[in-house]
Amino acid sequence: MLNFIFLVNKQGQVRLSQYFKHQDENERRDIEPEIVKKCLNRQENQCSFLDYKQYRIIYRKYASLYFIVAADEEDNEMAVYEFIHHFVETLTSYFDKVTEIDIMFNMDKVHMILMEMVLNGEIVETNKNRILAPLRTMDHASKR
Amino acid sequence: MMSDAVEKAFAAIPGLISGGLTTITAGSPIHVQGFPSFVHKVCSLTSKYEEEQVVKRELTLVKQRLAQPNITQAQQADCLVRLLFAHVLGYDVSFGYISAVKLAQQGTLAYKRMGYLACTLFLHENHELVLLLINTIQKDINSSNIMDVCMALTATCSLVNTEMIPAILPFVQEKLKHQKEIIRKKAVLCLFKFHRMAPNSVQHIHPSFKEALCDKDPGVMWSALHIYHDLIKHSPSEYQDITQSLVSILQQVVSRKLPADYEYHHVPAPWLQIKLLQVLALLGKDQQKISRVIHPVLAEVLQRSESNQNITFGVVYECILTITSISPDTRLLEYAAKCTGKFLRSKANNLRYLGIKALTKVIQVAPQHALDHQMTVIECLEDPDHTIRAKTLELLYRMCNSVNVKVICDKLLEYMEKDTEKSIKGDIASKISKLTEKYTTNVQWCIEIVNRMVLLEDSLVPQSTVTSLIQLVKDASLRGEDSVLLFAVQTYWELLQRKDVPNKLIQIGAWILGEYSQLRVVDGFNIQDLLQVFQRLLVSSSTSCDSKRWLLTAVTKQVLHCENAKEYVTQLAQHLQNEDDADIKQRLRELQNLCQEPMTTFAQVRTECQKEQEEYDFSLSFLDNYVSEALEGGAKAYCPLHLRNMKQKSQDTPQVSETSFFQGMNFLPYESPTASISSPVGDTSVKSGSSGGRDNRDGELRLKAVKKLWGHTGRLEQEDEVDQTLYEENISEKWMEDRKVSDKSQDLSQSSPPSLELAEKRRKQELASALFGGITRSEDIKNDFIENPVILPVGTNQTLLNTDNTER
Repeated sequence: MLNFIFLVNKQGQVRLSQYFKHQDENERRDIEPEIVKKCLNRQENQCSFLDYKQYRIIYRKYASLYFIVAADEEDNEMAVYEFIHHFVETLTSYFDKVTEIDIMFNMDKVHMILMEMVLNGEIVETNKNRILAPLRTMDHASKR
Repeated sequence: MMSDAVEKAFAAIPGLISGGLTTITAGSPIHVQGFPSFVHKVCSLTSKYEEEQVVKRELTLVKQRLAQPNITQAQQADCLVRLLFAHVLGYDVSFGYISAVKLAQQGTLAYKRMGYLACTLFLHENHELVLLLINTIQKDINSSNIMDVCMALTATCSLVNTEMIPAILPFVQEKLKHQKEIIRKKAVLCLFKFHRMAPNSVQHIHPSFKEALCDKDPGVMWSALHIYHDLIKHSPSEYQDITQSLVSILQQVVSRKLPADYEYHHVPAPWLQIKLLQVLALLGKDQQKISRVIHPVLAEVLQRSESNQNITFGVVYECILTITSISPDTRLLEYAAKCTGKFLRSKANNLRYLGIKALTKVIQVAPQHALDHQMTVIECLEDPDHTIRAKTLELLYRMCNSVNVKVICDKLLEYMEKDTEKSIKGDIASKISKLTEKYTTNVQWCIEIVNRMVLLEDSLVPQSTVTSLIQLVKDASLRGEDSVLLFAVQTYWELLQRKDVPNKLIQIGAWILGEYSQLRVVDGFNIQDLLQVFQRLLVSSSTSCDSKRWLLTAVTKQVLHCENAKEYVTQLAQHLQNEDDADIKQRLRELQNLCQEPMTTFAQVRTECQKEQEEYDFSLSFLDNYVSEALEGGAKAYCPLHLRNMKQKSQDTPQVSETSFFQGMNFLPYESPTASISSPVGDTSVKSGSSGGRDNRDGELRLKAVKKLWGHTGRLEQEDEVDQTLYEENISEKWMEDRKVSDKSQDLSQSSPPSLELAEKRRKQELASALFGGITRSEDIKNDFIENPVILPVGTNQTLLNTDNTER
């Protein structure tokens, strides 16, 4: 299962984080910078997977933003790697050319999209229309 | 970048206002600055100190705002978003949690959603405020507004705790039959969460899971699949009846029967395929019948996974894992091995990573496939990417057999020395320990390896290594292998005299020297020196309490051989008088009491005991008179055990006489084996240790391409040049084949001079032969699929990669 996901920029600032399994605040404050440091230190030609404590970290870089997901050892790394891409594609679909700024200013919507896709740490929905349906319905309702 | 940010921020504001979620109310009593400007302010700062000041000021403002009675829902939502932002930055916003709960309770539509979102992100299942949400969740699940129902069900998955389950379960159960598939899906996901937290709470509604799995909507079915994954992980044998349903679902998915919007880059529902493969792997494990049901669909998945995309490779990888987990089908295994090879030859590091992991699984079922990728594995072992190196070490560990174990342990120790991550060092240490426990024929080698490991990282070596090594030495002494004991004593005598001895070495050394020092006494070895060393270690502050106890036991064993034991023990007790540990004090006290006896008396007692032992007549000849008297009186003569058993059998089959029973049996011992030491490479009758026994036809191993490294006397010298060139030809032929396909990926030393390149090539070939020694290639692959042969995918030579080895 997936344990957590966070979005970090090149300066190491966390732009979004969601924990699928509850983690204590202090633990979060300890592990986040360490994992971010490891990912930022990786070279371009190295693979996108690394081990950290009991987690398998899968990360992907999009422009200035790193998407970092922590999974378990028995998970399929390529599936998670592509899930990150699918998440970005879904965001692009909704926001139309999504950037770091869009994510920051629409933090709540990004969280909601993520919650439609992942629940209890498992990927539960990958159909873009179904993921965005509640959000679009709500937008439509609030416009009226 | 900053000016872009500013532009985008101000451009976004109107959109946000019309979105209805975050609003800036200019006319309110306290000026609400709003979320966008907060973000803008924070982003324009450069130092952490400034950020702290700004955020703290903002949080104070938000706190004041939230405390006001006339705050609107829109303003509440805006405050919560700001709190969310501050929370992500790492600031404490616990004062706002109650507002999140309130907004979820009282808000409508978008604001309610904001409230639920904030609750989900701020709170957790054990938080005290979660209980306040029970009523709200119950109300919203029963609401006629579908959005409210969805929100409530989503929040349930994150926030419910075991106490709340009974209150919410009935409402969730009702929703399982809702006409809208999104509601049914979310209801099933709630049950998934309940099952994970407290399986007993949903014990009675297993039939609903089955219904959900058979639901016509793929989303609902997929949610139920998660529950079944958990159930099957726990007890696979109980759910074998759903194998056929899962196989048919996978078939439908792969044949593109799902709606088009489930496709991702033209691959139909890949994550669903992967999940189905994972569940099928669990069901088919060690179950031949079930596996046969699964084999055809696996072939179909591989056949249809043709595109050169990452997600396809992900599906293929999962398929390989499934093929190697269930009862094997030889043809599928071969195809899996081929796909693995393609991953390994790829230029992309991610694919090579998958390849190494897949190969690790493949060789556990079919070790011969490792031989095809020897040079690629060597490349990965020396790859600059740390992750790939770590996975290759795991592969080596799995590939171990009695022939290559020494080389592999050497490699593992090399990495243990070089690597900096503690967890990886610990992992390697436990692997080496397991190998020393498994391959115990050469005790001296085990001792050396454990010593090297402990000298590198004492704390990471498991304690069980100490006990198992001691057991090995004990077993060797029982077998009468004095050379091993002498070696052990000599080694630890030298090690314990070092300046900083790691604790585990102290423990092992103490035991061995305590038991077997007498072997070295004949050499003029001085017990006094040994006791001095023990004393030095006992007094040293770096020795742990545990090690001190071991040392004291060793002292107890050896001090009796010493002349001035009393003085020694008194001195020792003085040095250790400040010890707090009760156990150590107890042992010291016992030692002192032991030494109170005058040593002459004690020595006398000891020698008398030894004499008595020598005087024992184990043939019991003193009973001869008694035995002869009994025999004369009519008693039966003694019959040895093996004759007794045969007599018993002959009594059961009364027709067979004793002489005919033994007819044809050979009681003479066989001649001892005389294997030739310097046999040429091409000789196929050489015996060497191998774990590929499964494929032996007539007990002899076919080792055509594998160089013989070990003989009776130990490692063979590489003298025979003729043999070497023959071997090199064999290896380089194979290597050239591989190299043709992956020419560009082999980027080694292209600019270095040819002699260096040759030397490097030779070193790698030697390393490959050492690491892959003992693995045999079986020529005659048995096909155990007689009834329903798997139809091989058409076009098995289709590459997963482009000719230039890129995946896209």
